Amino acid sequence: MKKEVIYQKSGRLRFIGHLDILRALIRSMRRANLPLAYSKGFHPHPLLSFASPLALGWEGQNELMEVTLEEDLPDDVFLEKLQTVLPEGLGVSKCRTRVEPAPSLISQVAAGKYRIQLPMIEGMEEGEYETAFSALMKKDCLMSQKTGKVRGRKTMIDFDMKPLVYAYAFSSQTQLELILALGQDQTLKPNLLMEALYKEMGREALINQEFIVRDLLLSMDDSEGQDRSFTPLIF
Amino acid sequence: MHKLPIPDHVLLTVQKPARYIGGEINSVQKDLSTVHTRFCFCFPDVYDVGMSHLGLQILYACLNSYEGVYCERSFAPWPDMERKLRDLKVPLYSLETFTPLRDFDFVGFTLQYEMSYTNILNMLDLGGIPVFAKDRGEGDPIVIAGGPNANNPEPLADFIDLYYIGEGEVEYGHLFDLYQACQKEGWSRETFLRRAARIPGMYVPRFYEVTYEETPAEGCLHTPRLSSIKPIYDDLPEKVTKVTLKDIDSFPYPEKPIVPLMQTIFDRASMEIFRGCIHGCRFCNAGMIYRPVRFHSREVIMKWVDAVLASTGYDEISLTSLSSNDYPNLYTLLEEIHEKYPNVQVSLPSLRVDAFSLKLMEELSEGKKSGLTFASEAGTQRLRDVINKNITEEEILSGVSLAFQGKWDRVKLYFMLGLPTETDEDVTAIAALGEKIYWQWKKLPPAERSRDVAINISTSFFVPKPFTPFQWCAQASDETFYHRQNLLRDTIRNRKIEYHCHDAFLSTLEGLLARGDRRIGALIYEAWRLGCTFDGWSDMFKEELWRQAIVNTGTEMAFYNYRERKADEVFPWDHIDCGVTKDYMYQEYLKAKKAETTPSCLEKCTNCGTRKICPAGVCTGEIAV
Repeated sequence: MKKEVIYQKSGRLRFIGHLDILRALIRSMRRANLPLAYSKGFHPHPLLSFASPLALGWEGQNELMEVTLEEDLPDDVFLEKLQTVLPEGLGVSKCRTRVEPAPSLISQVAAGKYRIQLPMIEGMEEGEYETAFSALMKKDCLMSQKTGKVRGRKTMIDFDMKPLVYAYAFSSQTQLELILALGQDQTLKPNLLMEALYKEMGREALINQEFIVRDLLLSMDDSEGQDRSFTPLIF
Repeated sequence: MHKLPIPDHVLLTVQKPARYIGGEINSVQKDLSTVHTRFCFCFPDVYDVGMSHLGLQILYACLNSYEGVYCERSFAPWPDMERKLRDLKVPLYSLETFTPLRDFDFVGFTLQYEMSYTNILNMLDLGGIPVFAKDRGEGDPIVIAGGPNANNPEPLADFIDLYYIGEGEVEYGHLFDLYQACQKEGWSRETFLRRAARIPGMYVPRFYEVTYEETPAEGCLHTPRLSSIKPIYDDLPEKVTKVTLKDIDSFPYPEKPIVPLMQTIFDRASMEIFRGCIHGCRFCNAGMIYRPVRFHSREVIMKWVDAVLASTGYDEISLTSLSSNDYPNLYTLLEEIHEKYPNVQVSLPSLRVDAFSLKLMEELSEGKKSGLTFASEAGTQRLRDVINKNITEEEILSGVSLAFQGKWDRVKLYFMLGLPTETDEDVTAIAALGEKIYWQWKKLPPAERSRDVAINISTSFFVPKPFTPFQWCAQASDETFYHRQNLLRDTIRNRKIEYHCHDAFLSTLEGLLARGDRRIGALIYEAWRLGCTFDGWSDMFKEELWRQAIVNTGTEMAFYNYRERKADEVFPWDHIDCGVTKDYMYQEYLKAKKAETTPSCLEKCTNCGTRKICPAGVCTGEIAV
């Protein structure tokens, strides 16, 4: 029996990394006495899967996980039991039962919608962030580095961020909304893009000072460029 | 929720910010308007270490069970966070309400190891509290210390207002009652401390005067021995006797331990199965100060297992004690747990290796073969008899042979170098023992043993501790330590045997602080002033600064480390009574020199003195569980 769950990470739980969130969720489910199914083998562990880890420092509003239960439980009972035991900063808002062979929502994630609160700077020019960001996006390519594996060995890989930025808009002077690639093949972490932005502005000291919220996980059709359409993975 | 005193973006620049945010499952929130006494439990090491400590959970639950008392927690910030706190001028705060340490009624430190002492000074300073007890005024918290090292309270006597000697469950209620009276009557700090010093187990260093002999001790340049430690008021006890819980099952155990939000050193539930140790290893402080041995009943342990698993969601339990095998019917207990909770792993520390425990481990680990550990401590039977370590070579060899047949392939062996009466032969015998273990593997037919073998020998240096029969010993010098270490390394010739060793100076320093007197406070202060913190972390230990502090304060190692004490020595801790008498320990010391062993408490009572202060547990024959 598989349950798809929408969960939130916010407040002081921002300061917790994904592995610790995973542990906290499992422990919460045990405290809630949910009939978790375990893997077989020497070290049985509960069967949980996640759409995409939230980095330490980010908030998430509509994150997805899937958990396998040994016996069925009504969705609302599942939610209520879990809600009462979660630590402050973790929340679960929705739950539904997935009947196979329906594809899981997790497998459909192709992009993430982010809301980024940029740091205020004293004496900042009107629209300074927006001007700089537009200039950035007019470049032919936007090189950055990420860790990856080449022939099994961990190394830094150069990659172009530009094609991974699907959409952007400023909702205020210091608030940037982004749709970025997020999936198995290609992912762009917003903080890398922010680093490039601060460098463009000549304000490297601001690195890591932004507040990143991932509002939605999205699926995407096969169109290219402007024609792409996104569907929020919520229910 | 209370507001974090550190801006988010600053927290995001330090390592593991989860150390500083609180909010864990089962951490206690109280309505401050109903609280009259605020206590901050301070662990003088980083969060990950402190939260792995069972004593913290026990005391946290115990203190919070008193109505009107609120116990919060604080830990030593890692240096990156310390820098941020100092830059932003934010005082070190508690994790429950983010209150600066200086605003508490009590600030309590647990003394678990000597190398955390500079962290205590640092935490006081970061918390906005004057470091020296004499500089604290009416508005400042009362600084309390307890834990195993409080048994020699003197090295930190200048910094601590009040010591609590013994088990925390016993007397805090009386102390808080007195404090409430103090608040109502408006007593001064001094008056409160005067009255507190009359509660059993409480020691207020400022009310005890230390006198010294007129001439330097034999072989020393300028440091005289102590001649006496006496209370300056008639109504205070000459000797402060540790307080001990008689019926340990009667005390409410922490059934809702705090579950950290980040991975800690021991990321699991811990449950005490008994307190104390029946073996009298002569180097071991814990084996003496936690007497008498008191077992928890199986029924009570099972009740906690139920409660703790339900309240935490852990999938691993550690059953803690100083020597797991000594718990009567251990197997029955484990079976009961396994039957009820098949998905919960149980771990047992300090397990002696024999056929029984191998069977046990096989079941506990469900097939996963991790390393086996033997704490044989010394290489020859003679030296093991000297230290009264109850394990023979035959036991080790038959243990490893069984282990290899059970497909275990890693064996770890712990030894101490520099034990009293040790000779080069005792050291080379360690290598020989490693070799014999290898041959136990080699001589088995390949089909009946593990595919490969790795033997790991670790040595640490012996540190004489207070309240042990070896408290009279001279500690070996750094030269001797290194000589023995090199000798051992050169004697090991087998590629399958790996050797790990410790830093000698760290052990020397530990010895200095362990048996230090009130004059050592100046050294600790100087080391901290020069920038020493986290001395127990080998990558943080600043040897040069410590050496500098020793020079600056004129501390004489010949006096503290390298001198064998005479029978009539007045120890800095002679005014503390931990049950086991000084006379008993001296007799043990003499027996050690003759390599005579002493039976365990279960075999025969040897009248160590504990029964007089706490007739309970093994001392009264109550061992049925």
